[in-house]
Amino acid sequence: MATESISNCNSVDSDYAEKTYKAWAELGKSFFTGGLFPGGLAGGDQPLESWTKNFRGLYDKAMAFPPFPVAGGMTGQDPKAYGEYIDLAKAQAELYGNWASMMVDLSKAWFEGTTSASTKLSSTKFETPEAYRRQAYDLFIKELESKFDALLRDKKFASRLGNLLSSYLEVKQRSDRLVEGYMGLFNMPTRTEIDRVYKELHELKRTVRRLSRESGGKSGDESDE
Amino acid sequence: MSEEWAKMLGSSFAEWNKSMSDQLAKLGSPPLLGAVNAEIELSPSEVVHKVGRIKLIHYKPLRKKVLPVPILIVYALVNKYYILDLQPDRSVVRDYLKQGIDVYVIDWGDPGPSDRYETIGDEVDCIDIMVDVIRKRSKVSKVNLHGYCMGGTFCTIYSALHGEKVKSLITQAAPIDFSSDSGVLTMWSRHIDADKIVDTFGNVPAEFMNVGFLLVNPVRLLLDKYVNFYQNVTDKGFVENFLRMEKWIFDSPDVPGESYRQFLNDLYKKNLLVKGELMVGDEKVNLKRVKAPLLIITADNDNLVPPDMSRPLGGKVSSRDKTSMNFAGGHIGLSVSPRAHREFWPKVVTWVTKHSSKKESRP
Repeated sequence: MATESISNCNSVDSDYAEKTYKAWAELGKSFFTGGLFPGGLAGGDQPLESWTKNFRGLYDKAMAFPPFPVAGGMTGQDPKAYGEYIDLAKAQAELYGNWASMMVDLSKAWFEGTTSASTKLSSTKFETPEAYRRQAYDLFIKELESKFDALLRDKKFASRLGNLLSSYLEVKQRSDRLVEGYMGLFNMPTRTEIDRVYKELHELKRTVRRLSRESGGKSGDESDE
Repeated sequence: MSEEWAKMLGSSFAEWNKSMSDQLAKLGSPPLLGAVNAEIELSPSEVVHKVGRIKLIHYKPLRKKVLPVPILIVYALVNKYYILDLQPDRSVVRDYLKQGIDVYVIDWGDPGPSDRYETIGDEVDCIDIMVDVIRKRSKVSKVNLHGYCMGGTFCTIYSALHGEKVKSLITQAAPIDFSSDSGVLTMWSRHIDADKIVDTFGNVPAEFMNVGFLLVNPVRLLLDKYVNFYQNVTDKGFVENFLRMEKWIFDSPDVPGESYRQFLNDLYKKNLLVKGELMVGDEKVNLKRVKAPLLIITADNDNLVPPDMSRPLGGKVSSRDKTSMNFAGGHIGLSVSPRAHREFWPKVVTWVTKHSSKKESRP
């Protein structure tokens, strides 16, 4: 959702809440019916409706009554900050979607591995219960390892793993940005500012190292020799 | 929860509880209930130089007569160097010391937030500082370099840039050629946004790296390994070795952000080292400038750095004395398995001894 389109936050609160709610509902629907349960849910759309209802209650409240007074100040005065909240919610939704997709992949490999082991076990005869226990476990591990290996080497899986990671990082970056916003309000140094100091510090260390080597003195920062 | 479910779960739990009690009774006094020695038993050593957090460690010789050319072991930035000196009977360091080889190791330490701008160039520069310290202490012009994993890549780069200080180069499970898809990590890395990781975290968190390594073989590393532990819980030696390994696995430092970015982008994704296009600091790394005798060590079942990531180095350097040694085992087993120390390392030590004997005085 483009933050630029917000001209007056106070007047568009309910519009944005509604639009975001719909976006979440769509994502939730695809998550429940397309991801974890490809065949749909046993109880129809009831769990989905209940989930979205809860979300709407929570979300509307969060917009109308921000949990921190400072957040109220930010959302009331700074349209960009308000947009940041919405973008964070979208990024979180994407993360959940990617996580679900990954879980489906891993569960499928687990299911196929155990099924394959069971099939092979049912056609094998064992002399003693101990032999059964030992060989059944070995077979179980071997089949699982084979299915997981095939999955982990699949380029599509690698791509989904990359997407999951990127969406996680997106959420973290957006959360960090909000925290930096808060820090700014309290006149506290932000991570970006501290990083700038670290960069300068690193450059200085590098220069000292180079100069001390050029001068033929100690070859590093310090020496115990 | 329905009444039937509650009954069923209650009954299952009671059965499970009884089964566990019976098993424990059978075990008598398993080691985990008594005192276990899971301490890392490092060989005696001292820190002889420091560059910020990075330390140069010198091991106390085990023989009166020490061979003239020392060896510097460089480990990766992920995990800690002491995997090569975990306990007396499983120590590569000790294997060297026992033959009179003078051993130094670089301990990369734990990078803090101010180290996030450290690049591969800084690390190679640090190796150079440490090599100079060793040359001065031992009064030699060249040292032997032994790089393990990512440390092997660093040593190779160093040998191309400062070949005049390298007596011989030993690469142990070192990733050099990233063109093959045989390594799961190589394939995954093509889909991973290294820039975003570093821009978000700064230094790359150890936990993040660990999850990646465990996911390479989740069935063995997250399931079978612990079942195996449970099956051997009465064996004190097994329990102690297991705990030492676990300690090492999860005692991992964060990785300096810019080094990680460069390693992933320039090596894993663009494969610049073997293409002769890798820039380290202001210098281009040309593998043809590596002329020192070369020993390439690989492990057959290495799923982190498969042999085809290490072996191509032999065809890229100008060294005339080139040897490959392969161990039937994995990336870590290569350093810690009893079989490796019994059958494999003596051959490596013989090779290194041959290159540690002839002293070259300082120019």
